[in-house]
Parts: sequence; structure tokens; C-alpha cells
Amino acid sequence: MKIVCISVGELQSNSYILYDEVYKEAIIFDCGDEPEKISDYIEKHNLNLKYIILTHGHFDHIMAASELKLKYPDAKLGIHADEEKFLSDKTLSLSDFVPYSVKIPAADFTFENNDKITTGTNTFTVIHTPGHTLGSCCFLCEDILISGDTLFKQSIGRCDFPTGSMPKIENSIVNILYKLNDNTKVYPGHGEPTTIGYEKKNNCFFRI
Amino acid sequence: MPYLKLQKEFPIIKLIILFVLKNYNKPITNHLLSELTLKETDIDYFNMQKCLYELLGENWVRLFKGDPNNLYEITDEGKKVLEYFKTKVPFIIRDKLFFAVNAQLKSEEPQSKIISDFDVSENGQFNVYLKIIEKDDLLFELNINVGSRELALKTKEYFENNAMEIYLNTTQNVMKDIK
Repeated sequence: MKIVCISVGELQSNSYILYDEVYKEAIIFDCGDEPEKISDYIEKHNLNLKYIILTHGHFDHIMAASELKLKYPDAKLGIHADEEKFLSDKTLSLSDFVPYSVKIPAADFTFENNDKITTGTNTFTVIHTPGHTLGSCCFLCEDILISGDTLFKQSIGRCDFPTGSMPKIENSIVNILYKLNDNTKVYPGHGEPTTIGYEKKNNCFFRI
Repeated sequence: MPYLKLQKEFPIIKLIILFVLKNYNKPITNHLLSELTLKETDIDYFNMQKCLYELLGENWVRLFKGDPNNLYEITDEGKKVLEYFKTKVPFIIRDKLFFAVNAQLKSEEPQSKIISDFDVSENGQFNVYLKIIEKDDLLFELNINVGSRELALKTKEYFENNAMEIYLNTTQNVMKDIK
């Protein structure tokens, strides 16, 4: 599986394009801004975009969804059921804070913990990890974890926005993510990749 | 790679100051710039002032006379430097500063305000929404469809800079034959 990170927008949010090089079927995790950067890669590599999956509903992870949906109408937009209302609520999505806003489309489907999302030969398992927001999720495929704003390299997502909760993010990280194999590669919503083993030893918030 | 030689010694404090100035997006007093920068970071006040002074010397920030206080503003060259080095500012700091600056901007919004926004419709057209609100009442509203994101941004910007003139011209034209 090929994984490509494109950092977008003022907050340098990571948008991940993952695809198998045989079927060229692609899935995007988060699309915070600069849709042309994302679509340029898809076009250049002749990919068939199947899914746009949102790790959570904050503006810096969803703002390009509308233009990508327009360009790739067959791609299905998915978000956790608890997070769906973020797409139509500017206070929840924090869109009130940006000097402009782009319309966010409704989700094509919602998912729950342990649901599976398959593209080509790759299957991602949904791991519901509330804390940064109520419906924040991570996605696991073999040894690759897309962690959104739940777990960063040596840090964690902030919990002071609506629906955020420090006890919940602690539970999500310590009792769910840290149970994964230490070699699991973590691709966060901002910043550099890391591994579960590295975070267990070096994370400033939760070290075990 | 125009800034390659700066890479090793470029202090992060300078990037933080440039980030605040860029996001504030209008001239700012030293007092407010210091408040926004220091509130969310553990930067020392005197160190910040030294870096700000150096940014002026490098022409990445300009200082001009305001009334009553002098005002600081990021230059185009400063924006290029920030763009080049933006990943050097840790996300946690960038995130805190972004929300602090935008919360400040919200608190400064006048009772009469110009609102401009756009979105993209299903047929690929961009809908530009332009409004003037006075004391919570809608004074003027104009919605325009344009063909590209660039045109939508330009229309939005033009309205923001000329809203009252557009309002006056439109109302004069609409009402000129009404007795």
C-alpha cells in the first residue's frame, strides 16, 4: 500500500492518500484545505478515489470535502455517527474561527467502532477514539494507523473544544491505541509520523 | 531555495511573530502583538521584542505611524519567509495562536459589519454572498454566481474594500425614479 501525506492550510493539516498500486483504488483521510493539491496528486497518478473519510469534523480537516466531492462525485464521504452533526454546525466544526467558509457536504454514510472500509486490497478498521471530539476516530490497516487529532508525535489533540474530553482521550490512547503493536506506524492529523512504541515511551501526556 | 542559509539559525520566535502578524491580517500595536504572542507561548517578553526589532531590520515586518500608537504589519517578503519555514513552528503552538488571534479578531468586529463568504454549488459555480449588517439588522444583501474560486475570492475582496460605495450606488440607482 502506498501512503502519501499532503499538508494543507494555515494549520498544516495532514491529508493522507492511501492506495494500492495494483487496482489504483484510493482512499483519502481528511481534506482540510487546498483541494487542488490533493486532486493534482490523484490525477497525476491516475487514481480512482473511492472514499473521503474524516477522522473528525473540525474545519481544518473537512474544508476541501465539498470541492473534492464535486470533482469525484462517486467518492463516498464518511464520518463517525457521533460526528455527523459537525458538518452542519459552524460552532462544532469551529468554522466560525476562519475568515471564510466553504460549504461542507452532508456525509454519504456514517460508521461506528469496528466497522470496515475496503478499497482495493486494503481494509481499514474503524477505531472510535473519543476525546479530541466525541466522534473522533482512528483507522487501522495492517501496521498503519491514521490517528487524526487523537495522537500526535509526542503530543495529543486538545480537548477544550466542544465535545472534547480529557478523560475520554486518555482512555482512547492508553486503553485502546497503546494496546496496538508497538511497531504500528502512526500517521497523525498534524506533524510527523511516529509509532505506538515510541509514543508509549516519549509522549509528553501519556507515557507508560 | 532562497532562504537555505537561514535554515540553521532562524529563531522560531521570529516565525511565531510572523505567524501572528499574518493571521491578524491588519496593522497591530506592539501591545496587542505582545499580548497575543506571549499569552499562548512561554516566550520571554524581552526576547520577543529583540526578535521583532530584528524582523524590522530584515524588512520582514514594517512599522508605521498610527494614531496614537505605531503599528506593525508583515511584509510580502515576511509572508514568503513564513511560508518557507512554516513547518518549523510546532503544530500545538500554531494551533493555539491561530485560535487566539481569531478570537481577538471576533471581539473587534464592529456592530455594523460587512460579511462576505462563498461556497461551491453542485454545478461547479461559486456562490458569493455579500452582506452589510447594521446593529444586527440586514441593511444590504447581494448574492452573485461566478465561475471560479479565484473570481469568488476577488469578488469577496472587492466587496470588502468597497461595500459602502456599492451599497450607496445601488440604493441611489434603485431609488432614483421613486418619488
